[in-house]
Amino acid sequence: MGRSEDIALIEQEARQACSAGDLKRALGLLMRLHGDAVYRLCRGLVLDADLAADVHQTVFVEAYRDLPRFDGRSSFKTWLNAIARHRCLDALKTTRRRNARFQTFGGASEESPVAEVPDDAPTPEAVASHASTRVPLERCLEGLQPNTRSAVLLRYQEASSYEELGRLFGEQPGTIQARVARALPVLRKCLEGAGVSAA
Amino acid sequence: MACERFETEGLLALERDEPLEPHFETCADCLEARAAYARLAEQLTETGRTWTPPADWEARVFARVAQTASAPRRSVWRWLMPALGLASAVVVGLVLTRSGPSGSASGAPVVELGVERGTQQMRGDAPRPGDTLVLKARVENGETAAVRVYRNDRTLVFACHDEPGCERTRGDEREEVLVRVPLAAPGEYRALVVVGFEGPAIDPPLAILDQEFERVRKLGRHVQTPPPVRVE
Repeated sequence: MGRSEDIALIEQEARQACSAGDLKRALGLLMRLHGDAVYRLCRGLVLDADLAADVHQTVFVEAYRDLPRFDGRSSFKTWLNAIARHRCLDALKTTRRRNARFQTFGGASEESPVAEVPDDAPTPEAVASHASTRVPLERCLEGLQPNTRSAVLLRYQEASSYEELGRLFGEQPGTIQARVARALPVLRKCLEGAGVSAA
Repeated sequence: MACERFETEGLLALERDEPLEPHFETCADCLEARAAYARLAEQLTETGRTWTPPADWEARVFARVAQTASAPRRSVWRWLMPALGLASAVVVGLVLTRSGPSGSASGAPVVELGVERGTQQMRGDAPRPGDTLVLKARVENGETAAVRVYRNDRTLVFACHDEPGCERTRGDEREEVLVRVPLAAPGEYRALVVVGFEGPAIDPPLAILDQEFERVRKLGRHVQTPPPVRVE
């Protein structure tokens, strides 16, 4: 049996468990099936392992809460990715607000005024943090806006189709195709700047 | 690179799953660019493979689910009381102020933060494990203060309202709280001082600093955030 058949079977089992009201079993199946992929999305979006782990768990706690209302119009994968994307964007905004708040307290006036940075841009301290330990590609991904970053990651790490991405982002597939196509040269240029030969 | 057509046209064609023009099969620059993007795609995939969740994450999710299910439901009064307290104190929204004497005039707590040094340390050293964080908060107008201390924003190491471990002195509409928190491990220790009224106004804290901050902010509680203490 192939991987796609496995996925279809487990998804079916999860739907049946959900219909039967066995939400914990459904949750367990979804975690087994989509847990790693949702974590990768979170990790790539928030670019911090601890924060990603927190958000990742929150995604499945919320999924459990909302399972009785899951109407099956999308796949579990798309549904979970949508929850993950929203929770990650929330986490990024909370982190940014908190950094701005605490910076004014600590008197770290030499640092950049984070509150003035547009919502979708990475914060200066986020770019600087862990810079020495991250692989260059992670640093370059951080230079992309979160929506673009999630589209690139879902496309290249999860092999999501543009139709799936269109449903997830609420946009036309062509718009996302163009966004990804524009992001790739940005990544390549960034990697070249970091001296990565593969690019 | 002289020809950039692969970047401007070829990439989009590939993303759209359209056939590439014959130019891209013969142009050296475009062939080189195409190979570079194939390597980039591999790198993206490889990087993703190194991102794996913590080993016990599923158990943690089930634990959180069980915790959520067993948590008592909040009654209307649970939400209303903080709002009434808020109204009577004429404190609107979140007020974030610097530590200092000016706080008391505006209804904010006066917070003093220090570190009591352990033995065998030279004056001027950074705080070390074994030292003690000492926090004093003073509130007025009949309010009370709850203190939470987090390490690295993710570990709640101390929470005090009426629990042992914090000394509370009350009198003449004024209350002083003295908290002593052992700095057991390296990390950044950050305190939140939440001000409210007795009873349901100050709930048990959440385990993550950001979540707790957002929670008290949504409740309209006054919160003071002194500068962090870094323990090396």
